[in-house]
Amino acid sequence: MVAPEYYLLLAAAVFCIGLFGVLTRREALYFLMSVELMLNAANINFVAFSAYYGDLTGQVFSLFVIALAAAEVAIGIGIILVLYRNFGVTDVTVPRGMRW
Amino acid sequence: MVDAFAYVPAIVALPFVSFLVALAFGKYLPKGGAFGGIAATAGSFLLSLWVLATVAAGGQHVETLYTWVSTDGIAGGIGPQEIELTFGVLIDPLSALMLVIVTLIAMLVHVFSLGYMNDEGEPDLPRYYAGLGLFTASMLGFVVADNLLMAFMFFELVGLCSYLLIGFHFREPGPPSAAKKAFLVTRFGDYFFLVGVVAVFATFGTASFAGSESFPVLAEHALAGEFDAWTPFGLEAGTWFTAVGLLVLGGAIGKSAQFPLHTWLPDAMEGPTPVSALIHAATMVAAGVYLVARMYGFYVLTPTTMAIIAFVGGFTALFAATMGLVKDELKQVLAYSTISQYGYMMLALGAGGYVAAVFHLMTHAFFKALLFLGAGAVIIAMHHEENMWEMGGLKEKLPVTYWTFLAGSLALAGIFPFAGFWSKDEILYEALVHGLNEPLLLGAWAMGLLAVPVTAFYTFRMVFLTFHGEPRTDVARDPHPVRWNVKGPLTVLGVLAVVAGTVNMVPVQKVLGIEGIDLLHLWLDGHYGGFSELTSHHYAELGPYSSGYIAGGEVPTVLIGAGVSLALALGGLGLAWKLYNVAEPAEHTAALGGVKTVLYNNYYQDELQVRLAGVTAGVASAADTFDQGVIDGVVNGVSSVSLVSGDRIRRVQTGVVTHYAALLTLGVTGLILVLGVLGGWFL
Amino acid sequence: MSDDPDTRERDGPDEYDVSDRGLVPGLASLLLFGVLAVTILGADFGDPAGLEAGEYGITHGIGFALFNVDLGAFAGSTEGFLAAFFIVAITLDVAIDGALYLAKRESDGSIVSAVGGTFTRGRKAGEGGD
Repeated sequence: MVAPEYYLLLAAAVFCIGLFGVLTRREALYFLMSVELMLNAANINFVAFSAYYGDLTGQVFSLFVIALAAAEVAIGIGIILVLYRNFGVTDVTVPRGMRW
Repeated sequence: MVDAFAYVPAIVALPFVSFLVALAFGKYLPKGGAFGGIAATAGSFLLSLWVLATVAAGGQHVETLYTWVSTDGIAGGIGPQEIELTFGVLIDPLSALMLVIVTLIAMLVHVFSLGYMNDEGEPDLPRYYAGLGLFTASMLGFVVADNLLMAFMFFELVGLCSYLLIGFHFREPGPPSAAKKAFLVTRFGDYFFLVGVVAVFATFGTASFAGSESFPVLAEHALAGEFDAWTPFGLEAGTWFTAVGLLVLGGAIGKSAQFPLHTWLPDAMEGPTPVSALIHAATMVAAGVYLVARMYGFYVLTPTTMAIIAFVGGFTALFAATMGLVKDELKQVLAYSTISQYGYMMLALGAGGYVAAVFHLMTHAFFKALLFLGAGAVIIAMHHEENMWEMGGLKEKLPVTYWTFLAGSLALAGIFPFAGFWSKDEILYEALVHGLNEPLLLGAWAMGLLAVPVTAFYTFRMVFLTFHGEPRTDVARDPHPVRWNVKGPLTVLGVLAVVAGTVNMVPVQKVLGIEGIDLLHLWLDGHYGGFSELTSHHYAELGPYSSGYIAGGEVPTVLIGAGVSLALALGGLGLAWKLYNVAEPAEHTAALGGVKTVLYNNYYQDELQVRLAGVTAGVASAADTFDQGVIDGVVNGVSSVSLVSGDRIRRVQTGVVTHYAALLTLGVTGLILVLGVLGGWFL
Repeated sequence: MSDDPDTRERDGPDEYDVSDRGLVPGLASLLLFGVLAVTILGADFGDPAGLEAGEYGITHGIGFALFNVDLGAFAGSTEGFLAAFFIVAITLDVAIDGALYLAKRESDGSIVSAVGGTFTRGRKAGEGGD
């Protein structure tokens, strides 16, 4: 059996790659892809621990996470469309109403 | 049958609601919110009557409504170990009677204000009616208070409201100054009161007025050695109780304008006249006397306190009456008469005449409210001229005002059979029969008796100068007419000033032997309802006095006492008649010589107090520096620090999603680090 | 830029210069990775308890768990997820509807779909761009 540390390090690496994308990219579509990476990092953890502790719940949960990721992408694409329609770009740094 | 006592909080709440309504919506309401105030006080009045009827049917009520502090004891382990600070209501014959008086006067004052304020086109009416509502509510809360601390809080509210209302015309120079003076002088007395409240808590662990665990009962037990009360410095219980009683008395002296804290009251005439009526008859000034009556079971235990109360009262009665002799303004005369009359009440309380004091409190409430409202009517008629020398001959022009004012004056002067005669006579009688064995009390009685002709004199000097003789100015020849809303309250109070004395015709009972017409005695003695430890005969048993009689018995004493005071009153009246009931009255004050200047200047009391206050100017200025520098410095510092830091931290919110995500990342990282370091994950 | 005042940029000049971000915020993610790695390597996971495949295998077990049927060998290690399944199904549905709603827009008084003309009864197909 592979030690859980490796799975966790892999998951952390994938998560941080996703996070890196969120933090450095301005293009909204890259955002969605990066978020996808982060969600799947969580899935890796679910499945890893499911196998490690012999509990099926983690694997069922990862299915739900995939489904919710699909929902999130659907809404996210809609938002990007609205963004484009209102600002003419899909650069997330342009809309700046979300502050004091 | 619905329980009337369940509605007691509503009696207090109704005027408070009218205060809120007048404050919030007054400017949108017709008459500046007056009708709300009238409706609220009328509702309170009806509820009070219901409560009175319930007490008359044998009810009494004490209930704790809300406990806001409950502690295991005073830090440091001195004093009682369990203390609860509560709000509650206490309804016994005394408070039920007072509720009716206060709500009645407040209602009439509201109605009168329609004529005095609205019809005269005064500005800021919502503020006025809000003040009246809060004033009434505070006083009612004070009346129903079931413990000393709650009484103190409402006592302070009453003081605050008097400040607001006396300073109602704050754009003129006089009223704000008078308001500040009233506030500060009464506050000076209230400091002692506050210390007294703390002392009561420290000594007994409770401040409730009624019940077997109330502080007067505990004090009684402590003096009998059955209860171990805490005292400082190992003082004797009796000595310490005297000190505590005197401390609380400080508040009563300030509010009831007794010597030496009476100086605020004449200045308080700067307020609108209906407010003066309310202050003098039912609320502010009555609060002091009511407080002493409320905790009378405590005062009767300490003879020294009783003697001091009696002596201060007697002295004030005479002292203030002499100052009223030479005043030119209608309301000033009434102001000094109020001080003098409350002196009588204090004399009665100190002399063991609990019923007599309450009786005089009641009759005085009626006739003094009447006199002030009458004065208000005259002031309306005279286009806000208050100098009596500018009046004269108003008798024909203002018949309703004249006759009711005359009834009030006869009551004030103590002429048979008006209300004031019965109550004042009973006070002097009690002081006399108890004073025959107590020289100090006899001195107080003598001063009270001397004040009788003086009172009659200045009262009728006022009546004659205002209403009799020839009109001395054009305004007096053609006065402004007054309307129903002025005449109505005057008529009600005029009737009461005539007949209120019949509720307690003790002299008649004693002389003619008719039983059962001393209704007020029976009332306050718990014959109808009430708590056994709050009855007048219980107080009499505890009290330090025994009765002595002159001329061989009770009946001759009654007759001689009443005869002498009536003769003196008539003498004073006659002198006023002779000097001032002429077509063209003269001042006649020159005959007083040097005394005149002293009287005009009120015995230089104000100057003396200002000089005394000057002594403490150094302390005050140091306190001011401390306040401005340290306290305000800290407060201002806190505010500017939050302003500046708020302005800085606000910049974190850029509105850029990426920045928020970066902050989230850093936050999570920091959180993991903190948890890891604290939880030892990294070791 | 829209003319709608609500969606316009709030104010012109700003203290933050966004264009000059560089990779500095990205370093935060590397920092997080470092912290996570240290934490993971230092953590103690307890004893492993491998999955028992059981009669039907793990995939079957997941299917049974999703629909609350006959958990068999996995009865002790998981539970029924039927309610969660339905909730996620509804959520997906709502998300799709929401995406459609956001993508639609009114142009010249007619509703134009972002997804093409199929859903708008053939009117002005494809103008929204998909």
